[in-house]
Amino acid sequence: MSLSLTLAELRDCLDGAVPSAVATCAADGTPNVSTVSHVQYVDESHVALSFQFFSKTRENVLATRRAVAQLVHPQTGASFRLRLEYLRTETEGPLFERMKARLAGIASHTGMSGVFKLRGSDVYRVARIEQVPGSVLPMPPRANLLPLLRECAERFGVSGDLGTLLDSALGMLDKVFGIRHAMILMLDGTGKRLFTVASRGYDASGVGSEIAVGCGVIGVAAAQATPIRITHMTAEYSYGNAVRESAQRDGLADLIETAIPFPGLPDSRSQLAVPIVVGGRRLGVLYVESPQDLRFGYDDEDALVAFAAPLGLAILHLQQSSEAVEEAPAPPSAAAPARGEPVVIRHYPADNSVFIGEDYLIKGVAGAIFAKLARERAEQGRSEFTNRELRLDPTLRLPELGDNLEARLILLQRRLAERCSFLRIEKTGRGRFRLAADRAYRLQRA
Amino acid sequence: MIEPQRIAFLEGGMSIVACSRGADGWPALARASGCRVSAGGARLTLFFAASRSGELLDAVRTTRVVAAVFNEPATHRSVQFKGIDGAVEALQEGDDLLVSGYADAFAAAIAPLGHPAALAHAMVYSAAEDIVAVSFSPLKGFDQTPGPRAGSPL
Repeated sequence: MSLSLTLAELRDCLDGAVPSAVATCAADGTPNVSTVSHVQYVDESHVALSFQFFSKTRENVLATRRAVAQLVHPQTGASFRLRLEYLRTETEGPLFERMKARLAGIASHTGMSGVFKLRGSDVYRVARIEQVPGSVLPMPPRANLLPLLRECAERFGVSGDLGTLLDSALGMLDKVFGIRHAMILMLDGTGKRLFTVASRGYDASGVGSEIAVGCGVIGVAAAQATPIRITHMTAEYSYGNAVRESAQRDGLADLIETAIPFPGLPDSRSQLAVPIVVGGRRLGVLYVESPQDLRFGYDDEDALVAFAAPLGLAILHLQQSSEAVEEAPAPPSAAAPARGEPVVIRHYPADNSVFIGEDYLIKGVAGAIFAKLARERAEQGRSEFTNRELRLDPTLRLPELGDNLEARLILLQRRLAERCSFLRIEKTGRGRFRLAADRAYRLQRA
Repeated sequence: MIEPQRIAFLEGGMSIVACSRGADGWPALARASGCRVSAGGARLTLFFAASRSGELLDAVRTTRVVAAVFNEPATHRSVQFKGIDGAVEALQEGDDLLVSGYADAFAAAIAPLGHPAALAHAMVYSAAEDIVAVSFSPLKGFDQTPGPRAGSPL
């Protein structure tokens, strides 16, 4: 392979803005040429082509294992030729899912939905790269993402609690990278659902909304632990479709929170979901989107994967340290007296849903935690709690909780801030917090 | 043989890419800078910038096999023609005008996709003295429009 030209430098050519051409020869030597909607970067010496139809190209490749692709840079017009040696076809897994999502976006953008369907990812070794001689247009200036990334990574270490860390991560995406619409979802203990714990750039925060693992851009990124990037939005990967899809899966429909709307952009055109993984363990998904087509390229994908790595470490550290603190049990401080006519709070143990007056607050793990706090505050007059006692409480040993106690508390804190005018969760120290009430309430088990 | 009703499509600023088989067995391909269809459709001539198409021209001289795909960028409508008697030829009078006209027609064809004319020109422009012609008799034609019918004979 030419040392002067790397595949990474050609990645702008691969997003399908200008279709690539692929030439092959049959076993008898007859040439064949066709256009392909996109070529997928796999790594520095491999690309993949989408296998959609049983075409002559594919027949030839299986016979001779050779293809030549010509790529065009969409900004400069520079052309490149790649000699490719066919290795294998993948029909499932991260590469397949990345290509499937990309192809769905391209199909939707080009009016080919229902026609383009990925059957497999044909993986090739790149044997040679050459630039076709000729005049090219100047490359538009672009930001160097590395110093920006370093700035963010250095700041991850200074957040004192998980809520601040998540908000500051989204703030950095906005201020440093100019990514205005973003959210962070955590994987629950069952590994089947993701719940939104922080968001930025939406009318409603959507904190508490859920997505089934395996559904939509975010769900597929979590299921495959691989970034999923869509350069042109497609209905196939929309949130609405993800919800319908999860409804069709066994038993998931009832499990997914649908009362809290997902905070997506209605006119989203570009989307990128990056798994937050630490040491092979999936924690959640960082999701960004834009109303602009082709907003996120390969470089942005690299930057966000690199951004998500220290973010994941910081999340794990704060989650674990919030429960590891060996503090004396919270002093039995008397809860401040609450005034006024008591508001009725209903708790439905069947699904742990909670209603404040007539307004839905939350269900599931966060609902169970809330019910315990509200009950103990009302019955025992205590308002100070620790994460550790929640963790040890046998009534809260729900599979969904997993290691996410701190994240669930943030979710509950935020839902209360948005939906309840008189109850608040206030952090009082690492692994400690207070349930404050400005008004009397009566908890009913419904 | 190319049907008369298809000639206007082929000469209408489509994206044109051709390939042949090199002496080493590898396919060789290049983007064309225009085309001419003979009266009656018996001969298809493609224009190339020689400086960008060395491998393809060598391959045509060696093996004479040629395949060329014509693709309308905005609609994906595509056809492919194949021949076995390809030859690298000198230009005929008026071919330089076909080449310069093609660059503008190609720019118009990709404009609906949001690509500036400068991109089209960078992709297909060639200096007049650099242009060569490759012509062949299309023996077979195929519908290449993406979908289940792709690959079926015309």
